[in-house]
Amino acid sequence: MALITAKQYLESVKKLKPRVYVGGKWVKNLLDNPVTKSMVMANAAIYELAEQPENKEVMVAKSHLTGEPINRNLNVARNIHDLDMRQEMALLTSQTVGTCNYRCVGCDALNSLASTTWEMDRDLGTKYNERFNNWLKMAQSKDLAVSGAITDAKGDRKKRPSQQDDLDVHLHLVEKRDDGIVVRGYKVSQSGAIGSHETLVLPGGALREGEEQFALSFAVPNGSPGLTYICQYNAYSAERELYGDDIEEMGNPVYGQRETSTMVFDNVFIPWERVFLFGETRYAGRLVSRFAKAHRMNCGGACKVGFADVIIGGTLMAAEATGVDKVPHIQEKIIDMVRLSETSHACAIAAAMRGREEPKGSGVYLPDDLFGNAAKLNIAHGFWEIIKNAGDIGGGLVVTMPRLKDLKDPEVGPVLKKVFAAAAPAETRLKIAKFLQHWAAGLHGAGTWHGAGAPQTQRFMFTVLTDFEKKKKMARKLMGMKEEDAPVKPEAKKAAK
Amino acid sequence: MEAIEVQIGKTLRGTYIGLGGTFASMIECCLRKKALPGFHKEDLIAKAELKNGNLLRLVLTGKRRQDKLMEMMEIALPNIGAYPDTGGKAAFFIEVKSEK
Repeated sequence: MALITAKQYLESVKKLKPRVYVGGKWVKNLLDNPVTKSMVMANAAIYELAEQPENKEVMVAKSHLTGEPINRNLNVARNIHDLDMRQEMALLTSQTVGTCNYRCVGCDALNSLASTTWEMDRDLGTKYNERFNNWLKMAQSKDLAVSGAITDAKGDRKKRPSQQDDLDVHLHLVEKRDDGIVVRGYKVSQSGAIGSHETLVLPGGALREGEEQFALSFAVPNGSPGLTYICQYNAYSAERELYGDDIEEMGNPVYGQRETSTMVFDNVFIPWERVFLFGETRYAGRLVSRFAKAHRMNCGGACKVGFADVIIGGTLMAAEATGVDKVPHIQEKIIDMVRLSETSHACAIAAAMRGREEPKGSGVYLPDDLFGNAAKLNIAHGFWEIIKNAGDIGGGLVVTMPRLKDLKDPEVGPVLKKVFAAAAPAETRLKIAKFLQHWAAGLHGAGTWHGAGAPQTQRFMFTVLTDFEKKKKMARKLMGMKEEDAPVKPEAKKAAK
Repeated sequence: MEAIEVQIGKTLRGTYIGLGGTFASMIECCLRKKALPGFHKEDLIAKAELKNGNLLRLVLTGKRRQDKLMEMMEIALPNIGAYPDTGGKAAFFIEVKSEK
């Protein structure tokens, strides 16, 4: 059984009992709470995509460990085609659910682990890769939903992890035992662990010698004792709780906004068989940067492009509903939205096509770093433009509209229908406006900015990955300028570094 | 992988399979944290003891029918990463009883 259905996933969720807190309440059953249910339904839709024959190429891969068909969310990329299909999966899932594919971070984390554990075994003679492959085989055979947790709470940014007043702001080791380790601390902004079977935990960033207690990576079952999830809570959570099963009132009725939580590890036991990094600080940065490399291609250049596709669709409908769809400046803005999103997608495709085996001999393929970072940085800025245009064309109605059900109110409904009727009936206009409200006044703007790392990290990567001296040399050659006449001599630049 | 057999009374049996260390996770939870995985209460375990390193004897508080005990174990084990299996030779055992 290497692929399960959406129905089987939903059955399995009924037995998952993570300790989940949402807006003042403890959630006993994930499917009974409207907020957590939206996350679970999004995951179910991802399983369903893999059942559909037309999506097999994108959603189903062949396990390199067993040869069995597996969900691509659990696949280790072994070639360029795998990388390309991985980014296409990110596009398709976003177009389908209009929110997070909650298995996406786990997928990129497991690719980074496949690469880095192989490298550690080669360099250090450890057995991490064997352990990791055993875990992966199990996850693939059960088609588990695997999420990923990376970001530590971090505390005072001026201080290193071991200098913090409260060490828990970085996930850390508490005890080493014969049968495993005990960890505590916090992981924040974590997407979808509550409805996943397992979470892969990686360090939050590069670490130095002396910071071994923070250099940890492991897989944790999500109901593990000592683990608590404190979910995000905002106006959209409150709205969803208010309407309960009456989901038609919402902008994204079934799948909702993106649901994240703060994971609190209170002395959680992790058996050795689930530990994939233990104190090797030299490899912590590599593990995280390989994750980022994969995630920037997928999150930046494909996932958000899928969001942009549905936003563009909704915006066009808003223009049609008000009768402005043929107005030149409206068409120009729509084209700008397409330009911004397709440019990012092109970067993702380029990142996949220029991907390479890393490290050599590992058999693991990772996307090109520069193009992946370009995809993410481009969409971080572009997405604000896209939702700005959606709000622009959708009009003030996007944020000033009444409730949808007010149209059915015997007293105010008839007048509202007259007020908001345009080139389409009021019901149609308001439904579209509510959809655009979900995006233009929702959580995805800041989410896209920070997801897969805030843009400053991509700018930093550009400075690392770009050969500026080579560019200056090309310019000098065209100018006919000798090296010694350059404003800063290449040799001086090298010495300064 | 580890196979764990749940034993309730003379006839009720269930086999679960998980990665190595799954039984250790169960021991950690029931003996150290005094809780059953998936049930976030501290008053559920009346008694828990480990025998011979591979048998966990659990007594749950209150009066519970055997089928209810099995339902509880069907929740407890997946929450530490063990999944139902078709059977085979188990290396670890969990014996579950009701207090009354």
